[in-house]
Amino acid sequence: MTDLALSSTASPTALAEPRDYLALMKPRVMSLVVFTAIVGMAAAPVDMHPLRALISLLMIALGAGASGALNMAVDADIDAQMKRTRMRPTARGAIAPADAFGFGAVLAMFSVLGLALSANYLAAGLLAFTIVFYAVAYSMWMKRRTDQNIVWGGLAGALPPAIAWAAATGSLSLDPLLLVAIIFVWTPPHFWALALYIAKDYAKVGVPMLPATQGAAVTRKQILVYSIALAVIGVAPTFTGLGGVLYLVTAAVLGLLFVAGAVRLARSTAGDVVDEAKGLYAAGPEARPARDLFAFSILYLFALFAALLVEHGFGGYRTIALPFGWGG
Amino acid sequence: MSAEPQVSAKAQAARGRRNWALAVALLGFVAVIFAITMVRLQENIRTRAALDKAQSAASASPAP
Repeated sequence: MTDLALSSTASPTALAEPRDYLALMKPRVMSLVVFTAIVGMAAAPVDMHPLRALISLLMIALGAGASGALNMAVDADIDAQMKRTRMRPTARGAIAPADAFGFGAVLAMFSVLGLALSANYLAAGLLAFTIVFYAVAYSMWMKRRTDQNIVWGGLAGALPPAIAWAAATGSLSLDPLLLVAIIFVWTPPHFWALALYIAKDYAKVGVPMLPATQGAAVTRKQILVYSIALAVIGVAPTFTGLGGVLYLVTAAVLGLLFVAGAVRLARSTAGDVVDEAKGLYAAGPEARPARDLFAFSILYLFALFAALLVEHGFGGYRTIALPFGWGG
Repeated sequence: MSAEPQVSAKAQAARGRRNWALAVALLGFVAVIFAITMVRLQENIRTRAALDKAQSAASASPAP
């Protein structure tokens, strides 16, 4: 018999479902990207045609999806060995890494082209930079070579508000860069808190996360330093007029709580002894300060950007004048 | 005799669903490009009309 039998063993992608491709785009990361981009667009001082704004946000979301797909294509080998990522389509063999790469590349092309058409070349260029930076500089190079991987990798996740701002205004200014700075400085304490209680997972695959290379004590100290910087930068938009009273109160209170959480973590022994993590929010008693800070960091970023969205979405912040001309 | 590749029923069904998803995505992209074109065209026509109006107003007003 000469017939070829094309089964799932011939190519893993033969059995891939559309939902596997959706998973390839990291929908949870996409939702955060879209949320911060909406805030960047709402805070921009220029009104955009609603349909163009909607399409621009869709293109930014697709660009984030492209980054996710390219990242999974590159990291398929290590994702398969880590508990947190072993169910990803490329890790469990539902989609071949080469197919994921092709999917990501096509998606990247469409999203950049779409943003250039719906907005402008500056926004499209920033989106292209973000995708390439995440897929090449972070995934292919920094992630496996330096324990500062997530510090620089965080830049890709921080840029969406600036891309959205550029889409609306055609330019960049201090305000969108402050939003970028907030997410950039937020990323290390967020991921290192997580890494403190799933360090074994990263160590197993040779990814040099800070807790594995420098130890838990250094990581806890670094988290505290970044948390203080975050609390300071968090209130900075009030001084440029981007944030109003609601934002100032939110950023100040949550910033202090963030630092308090980091101090509690610095005084703990979280990460000194790492058990096998059972999940993102499942941690032993010693690792709880790390787990709590990780969970709080998500709330912090959401609340900060939500406050900006409320102020700019409804224009309420301009009705209350802050002293010394703060708040616009 | 040429060998026809045999595809399992499961793989064929998955391929069908992927093809539908791809068709929807491509049609969506076409719709998006069409929508962008219409919006930009509308914006450009308005800008042009405003410029023409400003130019004619400037030429109609007497020189100082």
